[in-house]
Amino acid sequence: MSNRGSSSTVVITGMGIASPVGTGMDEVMSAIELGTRGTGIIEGFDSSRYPARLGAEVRKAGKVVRLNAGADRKAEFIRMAMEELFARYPGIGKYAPGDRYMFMGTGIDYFDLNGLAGEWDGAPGGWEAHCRRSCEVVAGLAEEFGISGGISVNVSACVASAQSIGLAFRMLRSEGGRIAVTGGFDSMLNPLHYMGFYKLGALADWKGDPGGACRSFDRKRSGLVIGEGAMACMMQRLDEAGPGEAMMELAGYASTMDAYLVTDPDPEARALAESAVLAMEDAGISPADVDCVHLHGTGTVKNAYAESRAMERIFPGRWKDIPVYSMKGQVGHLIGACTAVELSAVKYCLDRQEIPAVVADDEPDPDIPLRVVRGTPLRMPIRTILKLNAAFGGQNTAMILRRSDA
Amino acid sequence: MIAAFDSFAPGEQIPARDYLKDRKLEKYFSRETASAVVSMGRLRERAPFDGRMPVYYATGIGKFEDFNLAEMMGESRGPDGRFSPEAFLSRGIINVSPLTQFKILSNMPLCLVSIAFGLRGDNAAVYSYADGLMLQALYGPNEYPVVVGAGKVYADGRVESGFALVSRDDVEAAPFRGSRDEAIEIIRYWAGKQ
Repeated sequence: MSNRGSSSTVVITGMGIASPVGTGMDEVMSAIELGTRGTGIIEGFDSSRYPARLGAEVRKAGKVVRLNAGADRKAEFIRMAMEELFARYPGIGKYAPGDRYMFMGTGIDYFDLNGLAGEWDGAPGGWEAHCRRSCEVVAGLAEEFGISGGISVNVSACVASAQSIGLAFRMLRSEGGRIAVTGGFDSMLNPLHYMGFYKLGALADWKGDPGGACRSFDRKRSGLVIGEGAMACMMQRLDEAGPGEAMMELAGYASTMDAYLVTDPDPEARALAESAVLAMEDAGISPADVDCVHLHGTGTVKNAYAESRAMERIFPGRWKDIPVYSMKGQVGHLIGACTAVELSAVKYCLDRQEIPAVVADDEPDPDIPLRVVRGTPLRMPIRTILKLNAAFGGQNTAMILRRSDA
Repeated sequence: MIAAFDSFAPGEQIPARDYLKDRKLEKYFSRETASAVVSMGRLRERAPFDGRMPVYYATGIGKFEDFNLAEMMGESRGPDGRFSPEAFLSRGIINVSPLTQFKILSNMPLCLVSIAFGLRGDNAAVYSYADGLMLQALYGPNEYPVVVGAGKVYADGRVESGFALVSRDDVEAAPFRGSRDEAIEIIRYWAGKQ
């Protein structure tokens, strides 16, 4: 073990990804630079008769990844992400299986509708044979990849991966473990789960270019474009990382709950703002230290209002000046994987010292007077990023991520 | 350590509304959520605590409530007895209430308990494994005591839930690290110890 860095500094040293704008970190970094659009008309199942057809499917080299009928897509995507992570970052090999932990965020269990329709007689629990439990996916991967320190499967909806990464951060910082594979995986793009969200009235009804359907802060935003993806990150303390391995530092994390309504975010965003304040305190920084904010940016009317209000609370006097960004215009809303996949955009900003233009965000909403990066990328010194996410039901997370100088 | 553990027989009415200020919330409840609300209500009666205290909850693998899945699948079969997208759209999904999503999403027991009792602090909803809840309770908090809970609906419709207000020592002493048992066993253990 080297003696570089503070023992409490936690860094991300590896990433593997499958996303609607590409599979593999190289492809995704390029896609962020190019502003590639990952939303479109769903191809993975015949959506032609569906009342909503927009989704963000995992792509590789520009083409939607096709899997066998009945496959649990999210399970396949986290496997792809894990394989990339372990292939590109073999440093985990120096740790015994008992020193390795796996904390993953994920979403609703997968159901094979053909199996259910063909074989299930409706008896309670009879669906088990046609259901793939998300927790068992994680347990299986942990066994396959030699991770036996412990596993936690977080199901906090849209902050599931954020809370998983937060748990890894806190464990590593407290020296409770030496290395963690963390992140998230999800796919809502099957008829059952997709129509469940449609029934909630949450999906975008954008009639224009499907590639511009998720309009985070745009005046014409119309709802969620749900999607699929996976990100596996390797996290460890800086003093355990090899030279040059640290991609970024996770310096602070916090989570709060609105305790407001189950259907809507608190329009005053009190708890969301509090999560940011707590994360900054956790990182030992002040609001003045934050260079830009990566917001949740789901594309719903209420989320944008709440995030605008949160910015006002977090950065009084500065909230209209600080640049804000969301990756969802490119990749849609990946629910249990969203924060983890969006860390690729955090890496992009820290590496390139540039905030990409928010995709599909053309027309400012006068009621959302934020400094959304529109049209062209914004080059600027970026040392520290605040990342906010929020879940259906009222859970909020905030992270402070910054350049690692190691 | 103070724990509240509840068990309701198949078909037994769960008196969640006794603990609700806003009884309209009940329409969003699954059987697990209703039981969790009762358990949190009972814990709060014995151990009043700050609404900013961390709360971690594990939802169990559902073995009973299908939230109209059987009815929906019955209506989604084509003439050949297989899944028919046309039947699914024209008949199957019609029977599914928008409220169903609130009963399916795995974070809803925690979120609805949070709303019912004004809990705003650090939090996490984890799935099934005792190990996952233990790791969350051990490494998640910046402070103790914390509230740790779990719920589980069994194949016969019986439901169990519980919450415990615990110290770090309580968490470290609980023999569930590495366990793939359902997390409700942790709460049962703590309830038995008090």
